Amino acid sequence: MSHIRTIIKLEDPDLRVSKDALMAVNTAAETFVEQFVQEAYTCCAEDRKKCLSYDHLDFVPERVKAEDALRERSAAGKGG
Amino acid sequence: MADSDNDSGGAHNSGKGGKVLPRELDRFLPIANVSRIMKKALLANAKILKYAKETVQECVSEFISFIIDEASDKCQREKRKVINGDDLLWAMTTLGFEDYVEPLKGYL
Repeated sequence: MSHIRTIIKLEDPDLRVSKDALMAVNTAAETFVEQFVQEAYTCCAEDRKKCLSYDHLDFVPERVKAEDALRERSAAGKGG
Repeated sequence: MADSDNDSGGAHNSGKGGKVLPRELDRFLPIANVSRIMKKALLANAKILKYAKETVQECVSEFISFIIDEASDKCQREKRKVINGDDLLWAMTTLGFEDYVEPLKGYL
């Protein structure tokens, strides 16, 4: 968890995070990796490969600002 | 070996002349930890290439920053100085990670 604290401090050195928040980030990060890898491995299995490579992670979106992503998301919601 | 846990972080860790840049290293969770979680999520016989590990290593750091930024903005708006667990749950819901919220409530 000290590594997560370091990542947060690099974002904003003045930012203070409670212990339970750190715990939540830690668990969420682990869940994120597990789900991400399972989805990638599904692509991998469809490809009939036993080795997970970068190509199977190509659903990683381009980096976008949070507000842009949320704007697109709400626009898509209204459109449906 | 492609799926060894002893990778030192590969592309992310080497600066000019092969020296490790501490600042660069700090941005990421240790690749051995990321690799262990990846293996846990997969079948025992699955192999993971180093490049894939490094990509996930970078993605998870982005994920952490993404969530923290949103929670931090909320705290600033509410004139609070400390991010708590509820702020994070709110940020995850706002950013489309609502699936994570229920399991996390047990920790808070």
